[in-house]
Amino acid sequence: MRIRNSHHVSRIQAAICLLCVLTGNLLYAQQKPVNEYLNLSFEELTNLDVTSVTGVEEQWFHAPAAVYVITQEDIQRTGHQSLAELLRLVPGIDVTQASSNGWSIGARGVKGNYGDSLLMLIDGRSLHDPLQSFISWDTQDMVLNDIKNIEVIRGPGATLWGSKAVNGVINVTTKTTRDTQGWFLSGITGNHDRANLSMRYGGQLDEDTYFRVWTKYANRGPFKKPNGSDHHDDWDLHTSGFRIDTQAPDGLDWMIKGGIAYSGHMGDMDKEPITNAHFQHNDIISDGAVFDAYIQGTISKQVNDRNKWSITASYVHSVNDTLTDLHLQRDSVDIDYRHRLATSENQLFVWGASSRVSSDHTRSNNVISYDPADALTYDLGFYIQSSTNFFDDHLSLVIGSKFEYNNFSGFEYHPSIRTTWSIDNDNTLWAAVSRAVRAPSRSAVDRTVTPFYADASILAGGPPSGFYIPLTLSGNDEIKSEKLIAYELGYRTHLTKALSLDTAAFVNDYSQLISISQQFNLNNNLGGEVYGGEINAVWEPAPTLRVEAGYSYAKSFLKGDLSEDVEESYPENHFHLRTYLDIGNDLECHGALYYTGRNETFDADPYFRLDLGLTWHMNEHTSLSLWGQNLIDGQHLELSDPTQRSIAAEVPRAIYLQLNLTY
Amino acid sequence: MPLLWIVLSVGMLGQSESSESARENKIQKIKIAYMVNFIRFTVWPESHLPNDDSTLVISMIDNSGFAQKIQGSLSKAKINQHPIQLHIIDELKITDGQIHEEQKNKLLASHVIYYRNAHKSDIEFLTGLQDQPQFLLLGDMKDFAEHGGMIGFKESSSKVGFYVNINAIRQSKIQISSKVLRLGTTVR
Repeated sequence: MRIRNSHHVSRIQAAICLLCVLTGNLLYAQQKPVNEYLNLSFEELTNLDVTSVTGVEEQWFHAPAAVYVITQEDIQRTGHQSLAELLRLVPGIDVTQASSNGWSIGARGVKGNYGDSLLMLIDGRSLHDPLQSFISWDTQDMVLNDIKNIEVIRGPGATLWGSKAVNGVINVTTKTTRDTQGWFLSGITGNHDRANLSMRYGGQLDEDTYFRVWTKYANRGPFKKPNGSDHHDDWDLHTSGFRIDTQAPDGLDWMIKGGIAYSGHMGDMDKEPITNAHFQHNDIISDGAVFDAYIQGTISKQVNDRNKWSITASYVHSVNDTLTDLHLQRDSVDIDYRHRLATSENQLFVWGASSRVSSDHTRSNNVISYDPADALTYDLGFYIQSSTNFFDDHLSLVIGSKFEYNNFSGFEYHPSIRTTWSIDNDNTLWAAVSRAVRAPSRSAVDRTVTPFYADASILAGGPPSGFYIPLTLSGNDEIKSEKLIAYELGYRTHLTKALSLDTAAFVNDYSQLISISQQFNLNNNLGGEVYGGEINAVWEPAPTLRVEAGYSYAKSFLKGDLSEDVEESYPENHFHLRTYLDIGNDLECHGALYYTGRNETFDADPYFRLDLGLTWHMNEHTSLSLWGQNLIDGQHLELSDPTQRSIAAEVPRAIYLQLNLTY
Repeated sequence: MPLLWIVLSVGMLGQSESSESARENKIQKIKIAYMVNFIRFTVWPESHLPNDDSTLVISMIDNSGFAQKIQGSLSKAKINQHPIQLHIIDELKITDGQIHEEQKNKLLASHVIYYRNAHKSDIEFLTGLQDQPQFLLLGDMKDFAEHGGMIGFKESSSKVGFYVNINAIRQSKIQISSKVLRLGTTVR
């Protein structure tokens, strides 16, 4: 039994005191600046609104939440080739790659013990899978050049986004079709990204209507076993899609987009329990398939400067056959209505309603089954939020709540109160208190997992009997929602024209977390506190050089079943350092160093990851990049099953060449 | 439902003033901030801007009164050590297809020309001022960059961005960092 730190409250106090000391010299409001945007950098200007936090346009610097924006420049200059990997840029987000096609991503000390605790949206479409209660990171692919930005909010976003956004929201916004006219072709080849080919064409249908069509094929190699041999997790993915935008003169805009993702080769090492052996299984090399298709439409009307509404509707069809004999299929329809109404210069209301209906069909295998096999699930929601500015916009108050009803836990509510004190042009202090709830899903209520068989006599403490019983973890229809009360405090400052700092501290108080008892029963017997903070500094001493460094810390103090395992399943320390350097007009150097602390539960040692890249803009149409990723070690482990360490998948060193053509 | 009541009550505390002028004002401030950044990332020929502390001249063609509003603050500013001088031109005076001599001289002495609410027909007069312009030509008009301007602002419901006409910039004597070209949307 480990001795737990019983003085964590004093550490929380110390963290808050530190933040107060940092801000202590700024307690004097100044006059409203003539132009508060003059000191902003290009990146800050191009990302000036943050729609995710309060659902309205908002300057990032004054947003009352821990927001980080990944820009298109970041995407081009970090070399990451997937949405999941791009999240490594965000302080406070832990990205763990368990296999070539498997990611585990969490925020602020917690990864969903029974499903993801982050919500991801692309152009307002939720990627949350209500059947398995997670995000399929592997199939979320697109032409990365078409992304406008990715806003990441650490901390609860449930007031606007509901019960899937307990620990954060990832909001991917793609460029409008008017901004992606012409041809874009990209080809990548390397030892891990064997072939990654993207093609997009954008054109104009009439004066106000633009479109783009795109297709992408990615073939990625396997990770390495600890002995250096290849794993069996190589995979490929085909994705294609289209988008049409119309900006009608009367202010009624519409957008329609659709896409498919297909893989017939999703390599994995499947486990099948041996029915006449104690706690043993066979490893089966599986080569599964996935297919996702969606169509989405958005209509929005800018009635006037004060009044705007939008309706987004989407339909998703998803088939997952990645595990042997297991078949998971679902069809979901989402509708989301949002209305923004300014009743005065200082007062804004955002309200809306959302619904999701999902029908699924499952076929069991020897390990996983759902009872009932087919089901219809739904949730309905309504939210309202008020943003009020006081004292010549120096103080703002955002208060609101989402009210939801779902067929598992019934009525839920997600209130929050946020405030921002814009001390002056260069200093912003914000604070927030939020309540968020993660409702149970089919995987917690209806799913049964049988990973092993066990000798009944040995289980009872006796000698082997030769009589084996399945060891099953069954869903529990009495399971309750997981609850979080989050306290956040943040401070942003431009220390000089070239140096800016963004800090945040948090205390998350969890209760009723879903866990597993020693008797192998699903329950809500886990809770406690997680505290920590993030700090991110950006230094731009010259237009040709940008340096960014970030550090995050998260420490859990939980009580209940599996508390120690959950506490230690999230690395306490993360650090990154990135540089973008322009040499002349045509050459760019990129470098990134990432550090992730030890993951005790999943037996992964601390590791450094070094990525280096060089891009040559040969002419206005053509660029050539050479990238090296994970350069420090030949291979390193990010996550493993401690009992299966010998066949863990380790991330290999990767080198690739990328050619981009734009016409 | 007490929470809903609180939300609505707090909402009533706001003052009732028009937001339209505030939004327009905000957009213009953002565009000025963009302009300052464009200047930071632009190199002029040494003959046109010889020293690190040479005065940088901005000519703003604007009859809305906005230029007068920002004149005080911008004239006191320094960008990359350059003091700023702001010339305000109410409107272009063109007769017989030529810009008036006095205006032409002012414009040719400029490092930045920002044409607010430009007329499409006027853009070619500005681009034709010199075979290889020594000024950065910015504009607000829809399709400003498509019609020959170097950088044209674009407004969506939630953001202000900009289009870059790479051909127009390449034909000039100024050098704009590739960073600007990549952050903007390219038109040809």
